[in-house]
Amino acid sequence: MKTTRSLFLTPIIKVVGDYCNNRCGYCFYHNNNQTIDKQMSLGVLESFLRQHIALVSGNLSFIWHGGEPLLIGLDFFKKIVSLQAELTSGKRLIRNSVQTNGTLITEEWAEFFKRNSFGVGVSLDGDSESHNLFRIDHNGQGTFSNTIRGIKILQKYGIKLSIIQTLTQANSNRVEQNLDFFVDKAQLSSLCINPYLDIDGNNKDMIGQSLSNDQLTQSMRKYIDFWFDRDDAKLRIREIDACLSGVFGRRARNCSYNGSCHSFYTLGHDGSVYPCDRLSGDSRFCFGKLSQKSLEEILTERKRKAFTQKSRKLPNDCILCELKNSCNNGCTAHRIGGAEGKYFFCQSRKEVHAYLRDKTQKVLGKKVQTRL
Amino acid sequence: MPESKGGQAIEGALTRMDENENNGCDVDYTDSHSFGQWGDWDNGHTDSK
Repeated sequence: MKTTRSLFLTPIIKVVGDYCNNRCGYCFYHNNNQTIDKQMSLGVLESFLRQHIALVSGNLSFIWHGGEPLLIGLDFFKKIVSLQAELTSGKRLIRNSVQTNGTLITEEWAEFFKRNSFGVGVSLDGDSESHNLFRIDHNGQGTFSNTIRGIKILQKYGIKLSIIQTLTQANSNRVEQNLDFFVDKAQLSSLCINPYLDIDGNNKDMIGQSLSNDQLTQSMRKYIDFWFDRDDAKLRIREIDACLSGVFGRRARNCSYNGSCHSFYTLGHDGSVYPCDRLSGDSRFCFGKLSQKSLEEILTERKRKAFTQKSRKLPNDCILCELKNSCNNGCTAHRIGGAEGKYFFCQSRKEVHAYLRDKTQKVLGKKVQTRL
Repeated sequence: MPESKGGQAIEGALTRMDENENNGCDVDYTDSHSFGQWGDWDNGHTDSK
């Protein structure tokens, strides 16, 4: 088997498909029946791990995702790490990450994550008032208290956490309150912000909740003001770091800034391969299935190459834009008209960049030297 | 006159950028957690792009 020399080929593995114990209003899978129990078989897991590890050289990174991945149970995760060790003979550095809603975290899970150096991301939209608006369970009850309970267990075990906050119209009006909650009350220092956008307008439960460019700009200004005011080197807001990378002419890490769709692929519970979870489940984006083709064939065939070309091809105005290298036309799933379209939040990204650049210049007392 | 607050925050962000570049690991997935620092990753990897 040919070895692909690429550190950045990271799989996002949906061990239970879209199955979830929550019923969040804005979830990509909201229109699916997420109560159906789907589970990756050990056969698919082993086949995937064996092929991926043989295909990619160097250090390995895995993102365990959902639905809610903890629903598959701790024994499955123990099998993951034992197979990884076996298939690498313990000679390669492996970084596992899991993205969870936090409600199923127990002492046993936390001990496992700590012992195996898992990075843990928890979805949390703010204080109870913000979080419980859309992050509800199957009975319509808010999940804030269960999520916070899980976070506290993870913190007790010294696991470094990062939070993903989905920003809707509703909680965009409470940016300051939520930041105070995250930093002062919940003692969280790493935050990622994902603006909500129902680009197809299919989610009837979230009508009026997609952010406009103006709303995102106004919200991001509040995050930036807070970040400058706290002036804490350890406080990381991912979107500010990403934008600041552009201000200094450096490459942002986040895939929705650096045009790196091709660095990821998503594996469904049934062995189906897609670009990312935002585009998974749509047959137009399915690259193939492990039961029918090898992983190498799926990842190197024309369909994936064509998607990569589309996702990386920039519209003409992007080519002339000063943010070309620090935006790359944003997230492919948030483009108007599909992968070749224009990033919906283009205007906001420019405005936020200018605001952050100007504030940075005032603090440094000089013009920031960029390499754009 | 420079504004008084924000210098430490900027320095922290620049440090994270340096560490990420030095560690050869600079891609985060937007729908997953990310810490901004992967200090235990070693060097010597090649981005195939």
